[in-house]
Amino acid sequence: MEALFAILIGLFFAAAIYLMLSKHTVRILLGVVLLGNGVNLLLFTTGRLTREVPPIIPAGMDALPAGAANPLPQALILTAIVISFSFFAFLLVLTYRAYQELGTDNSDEMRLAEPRDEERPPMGY
Amino acid sequence: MTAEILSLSLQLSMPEIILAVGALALLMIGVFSGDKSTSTVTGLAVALLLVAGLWLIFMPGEGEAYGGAFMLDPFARFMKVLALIGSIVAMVMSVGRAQSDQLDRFEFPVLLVLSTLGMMLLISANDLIALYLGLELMSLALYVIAAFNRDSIRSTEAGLKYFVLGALSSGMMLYGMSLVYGFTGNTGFDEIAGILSSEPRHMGLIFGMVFVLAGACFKISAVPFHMWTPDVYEGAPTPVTAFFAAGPKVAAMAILVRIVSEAFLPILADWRQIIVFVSIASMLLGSFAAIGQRNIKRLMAYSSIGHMGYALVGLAAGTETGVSGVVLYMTIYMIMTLGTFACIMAMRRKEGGNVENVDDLAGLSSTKPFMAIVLTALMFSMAGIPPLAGFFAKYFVFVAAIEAKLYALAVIGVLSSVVGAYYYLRIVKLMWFDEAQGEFARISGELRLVFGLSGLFVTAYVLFGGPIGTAANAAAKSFF
Amino acid sequence: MAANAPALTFIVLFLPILAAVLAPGLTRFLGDRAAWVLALAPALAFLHFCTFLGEVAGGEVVTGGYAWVPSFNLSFSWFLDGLSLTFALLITGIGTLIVIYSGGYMKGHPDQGRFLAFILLFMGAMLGLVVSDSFLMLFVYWELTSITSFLLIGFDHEREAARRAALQALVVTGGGGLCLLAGLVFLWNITGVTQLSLLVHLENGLRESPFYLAALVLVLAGAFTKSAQFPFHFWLPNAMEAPTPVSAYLHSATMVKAGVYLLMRLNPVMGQTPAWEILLPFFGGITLISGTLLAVRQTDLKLMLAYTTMASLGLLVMLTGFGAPHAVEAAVLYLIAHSLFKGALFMVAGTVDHETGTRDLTKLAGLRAAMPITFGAALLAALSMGGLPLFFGFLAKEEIYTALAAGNPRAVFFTGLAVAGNALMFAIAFAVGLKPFLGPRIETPKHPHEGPAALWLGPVVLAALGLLAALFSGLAHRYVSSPMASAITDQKVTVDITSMPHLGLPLMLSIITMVLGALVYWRLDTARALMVRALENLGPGPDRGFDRLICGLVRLSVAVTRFVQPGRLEIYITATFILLALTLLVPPLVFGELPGVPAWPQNLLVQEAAFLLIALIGILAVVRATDRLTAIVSLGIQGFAVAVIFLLFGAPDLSFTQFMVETLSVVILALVMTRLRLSPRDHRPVGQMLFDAVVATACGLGFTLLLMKSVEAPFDNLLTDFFNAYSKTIAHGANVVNVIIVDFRGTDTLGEIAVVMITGLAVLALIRVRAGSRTGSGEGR
Repeated sequence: MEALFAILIGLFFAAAIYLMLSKHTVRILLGVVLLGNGVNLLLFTTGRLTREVPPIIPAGMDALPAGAANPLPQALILTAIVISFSFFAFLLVLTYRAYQELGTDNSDEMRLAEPRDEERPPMGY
Repeated sequence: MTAEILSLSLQLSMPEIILAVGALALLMIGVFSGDKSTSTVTGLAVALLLVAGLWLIFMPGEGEAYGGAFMLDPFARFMKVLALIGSIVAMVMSVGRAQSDQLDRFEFPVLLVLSTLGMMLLISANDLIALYLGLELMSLALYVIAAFNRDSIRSTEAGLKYFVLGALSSGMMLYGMSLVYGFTGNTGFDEIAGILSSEPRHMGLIFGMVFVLAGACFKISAVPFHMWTPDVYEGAPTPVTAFFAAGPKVAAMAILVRIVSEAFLPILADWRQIIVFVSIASMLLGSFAAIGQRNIKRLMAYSSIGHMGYALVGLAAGTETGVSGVVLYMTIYMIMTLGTFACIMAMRRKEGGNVENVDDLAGLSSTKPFMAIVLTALMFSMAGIPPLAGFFAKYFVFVAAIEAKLYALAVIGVLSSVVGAYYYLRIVKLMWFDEAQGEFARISGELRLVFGLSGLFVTAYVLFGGPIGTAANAAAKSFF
Repeated sequence: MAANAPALTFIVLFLPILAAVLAPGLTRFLGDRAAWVLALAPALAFLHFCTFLGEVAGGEVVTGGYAWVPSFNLSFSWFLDGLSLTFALLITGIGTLIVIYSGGYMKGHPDQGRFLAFILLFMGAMLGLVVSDSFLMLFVYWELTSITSFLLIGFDHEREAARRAALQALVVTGGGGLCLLAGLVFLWNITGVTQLSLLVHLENGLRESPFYLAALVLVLAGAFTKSAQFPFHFWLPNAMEAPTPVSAYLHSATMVKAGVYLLMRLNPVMGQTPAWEILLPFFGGITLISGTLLAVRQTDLKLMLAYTTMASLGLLVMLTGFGAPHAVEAAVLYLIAHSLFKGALFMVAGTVDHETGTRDLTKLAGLRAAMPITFGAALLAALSMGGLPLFFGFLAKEEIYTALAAGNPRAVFFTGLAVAGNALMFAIAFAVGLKPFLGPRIETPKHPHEGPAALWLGPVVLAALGLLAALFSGLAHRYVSSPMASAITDQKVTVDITSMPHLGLPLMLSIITMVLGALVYWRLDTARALMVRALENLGPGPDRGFDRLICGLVRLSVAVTRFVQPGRLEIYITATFILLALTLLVPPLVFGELPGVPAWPQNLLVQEAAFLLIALIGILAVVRATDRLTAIVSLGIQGFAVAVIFLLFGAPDLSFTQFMVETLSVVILALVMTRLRLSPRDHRPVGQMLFDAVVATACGLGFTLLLMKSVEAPFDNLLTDFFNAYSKTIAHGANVVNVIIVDFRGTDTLGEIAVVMITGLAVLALIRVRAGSRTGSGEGR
């Protein structure tokens, strides 16, 4: 089962990276969302998979029953989901603003820094 | 969790709590009274950071808190105080430029405080999750302030680039953490170290470590994770760049030191190779690329890349001397950098308008002799020329590397510092030997104070640097 | 000495630096007389060091110091033996004269105060260099002399030549200094000693160490650059751009001898090895010959002296490394003699330049009547440099030939070199010290007359000392030469040569030298023409090479920056991912750590398979999306599929959060995208697409393999067990995930809330910024 997940996660990453390699910030944005999901699934799988038994201690017991899901990765993923959502929101605003300022979402055209024809530093003393 | 443990935890993390609660209060003030309260908010923010710093210096108490996720040891204390100083100075310097750089909004000081809070949490992180959180907290605020200038398109561009690459590195770091967790079943640094020293190491674990290190290297802008640095340094408003160059570097270096000397100490041989590679690449790129720069902020970016490489030389040693070298290096680096940025901010033409080209410094010795003297001292110090502080910084890390028998690293370091010295000297030459093209406007008091103090520090270090060295040594003892 | 001697020495070491600080102010108040007052500082220091003469001659070593950073075992400490004391006396003694001379030379110059400050600063550095005990202090002072030299050479910064010379000197000597530092660290690492006073008495271990050669080469790099040995000699003649007092002081009497000082200092522990006795004489010999040949070519008085200085330094290095019994004594005598006569001749050249307005040999003649005192000093100095009997230079030359003429082929070779070199130096000595003063007067740019006392005092005192030291050679040897030679060899040596010529091979060689020298002097113009032609055929030297190196460095830097920092986000990201793919794939392939082929899961339920498939379709659709609606919808599909997968595998909390976040994302994205009016169509050309696809697939494959590998290993449930065991008993919560989040890891959650808060703030800030700029520019939506 983990192997199947591993393949799916690999695909998530591949798709995310493919999108992020694009020049368009909107595609990069989509890539970031996919990447977030990929990482979450990855965290989930690293903690090993168990079926359907949530990590909730049944009434009358002091510990989890055998076969319950691993709670720690879940806690971690909850954090990660929230943070990746923050990232998403922020990048969205940033893209929006860049589009308004520069009139493009093509990162290739955003090169005020390091323009191609900058003159060389002086060679004399 | 009993009340006793909780109160201890609260006491240990009081500076962080002060900042967190304070930031919320500042936000309230800002929201309810608008942008006209910016100067009040800035003043309060500085006061807040000062209180946190004083608490750290004067209140005793050391140990773990919150079930081991938070650690306050001499190392953390030293680095936190350093980061706080960096933030305070950067914030004070921003006051004069707030108007012209469009930073006069109440969010700005609040974001700086929140970012500083992130740094403090990061420095104290003793657990992978706490590390991730601290790092994100710090970085998110940085992403925002990089893009803060409302008029500059460059600033937007800088923010976007920084964010996309930063998100990438956080992703990698998170991935690395999940691998480390997957192989050790633990997130606490001590527990990871315990497992690593008792079990045979696993390839996947090494990968996890590599990715975690990569995330930290991104934040200190070490090669090959440096790409954002020149663009962001140049694009962001200068006060923001000064802030970037100070506290966040200290915090990220602190966590890098803590991860490798605590969690990954049992696999020193593995991470040492990575650190050595990163260090060499950073030193070389920092030195070579800086020579060709005309914009002084870009130059500072490459210079900071190089400096991080030198600091990593000490880390590569993996010894107590090495870590105390890193601590000392970061201290001296931060003070030199802040002083230099104060000078850069003072580069303002009489006719108005900021200039940032190296050539604009020509003939400074005749127009602004005091600034020229200070900047000369700073440049010589950055070049590592004795008897200035920068030399001792380099000296201690190289000594540590040689003690650890990393000869090649030390030799490359020395060679690249020769190359590096060239561009600092070019600035000195410009200031003293070239004809002035125009005069700078009157320099504001706070900038004068900052670069004056910084200049005093680098020149007087040779006489009074002993206690700082001793403190750095004590900080390094936290790990060994 | 009194009990407070260390404190006094400490003050004396900082006296020149103190004087340097006072110099600008004092010059403003006293004008040209300030130099006489400032000269008190080195004079007092000189007297202070004189009080140690007796003690040191008795074989004692004066030490002292203060701790600096005890935790790093660093201290500010000094020690005075015969070697350092002689140097200290030369530095302060000649320094006194130079300061006075500078007052006369720079008379009326607007920056006289600054000049004096630099000179005194240099003096403090040089003094510190020779008395330093700890390695670190030695290095610090070493570099300080380079920096002050940079400031002094570039003093006349209006001229590009001066700027270039200053930078060149700094790069060469400063770089050499760093090599020296590396060498010292090696020495420390090999021996465990960080103090010169302990190092020189080490019995063994250093020469046998495998790192001996490395340490030697690094130390030599430092010494050779400082002492202008071939092939690092080129900076010294260029440094003549500096005002003449600087040339006299730094570039002949003191700083350039720092390299020789270092070699002499290390001779007891590093000498007497094959490497030492080959490298030193070899480079020294080349420097000697090339220096004298280049000197013959010049017509500028200062340049002629500069090249002979270089030659003399070569001779000193050669003698220091030669290894014969008398060689060290010869080096000692020659070093002292050279400092006296060369300092005097440089000052003479400066005076002539100052009074006549030119220092071109071909434009100067017949000055003896106009400048009688200067002429006298010049003649005395030239006689000493030429090595005529009754002068200290003669003693040195006799000792040199005594040491070299041992009969074996190596000795014969180096004797030949020494004779040739000395003969040429003889010629130059009289060309500088005699020729301008003889013959009929030639018109000069300025009308010549004798300079003020400040200008002739220095040359006269130094030249006279060259004579007196030889006449009272017993005294000089007892207090200076013998202790110095003893310090260099680390055993008791008594120098006993006198100025009375005594028959033997050395005297014969001396005579040959003088005859040859006289011959060259007679046909100097022919020799010069010959040299000019020979050098033209040789092509560019290291001096041009330096220019090319600097230009090349700048070009390289620009190229590197353009390559690694093109300023395009897309390239940065691509580079990062290629690196990532390589990191992920190469090590497992190389070390064969690939995971095993997994079995098809036996109990895969239909709904599980279905949602895995839906997620897959979702991501494929996102990648393939050509319009924004498809992109948004397919993004939603994969997000919800992930949420369901969480639910199916026992994570209802996650599932719920994911649903919420995904819904929010899709809604916000849909809203913003409509506002943006963007077409998300992929504009990449096919080749680019394929390349990106390959990189992306490689990364994805790497992640998959690594994950498979990681889940193969048994899982350590330690931490989970901890939470499991305590969440009910301590935290009283049944939902372990919730307990972890709000209780065990409460701080993290607080941090998380802070992150969300920042995001909110960020979005607010950016949107407010946007609104502000909009209203500012008056642009409608």
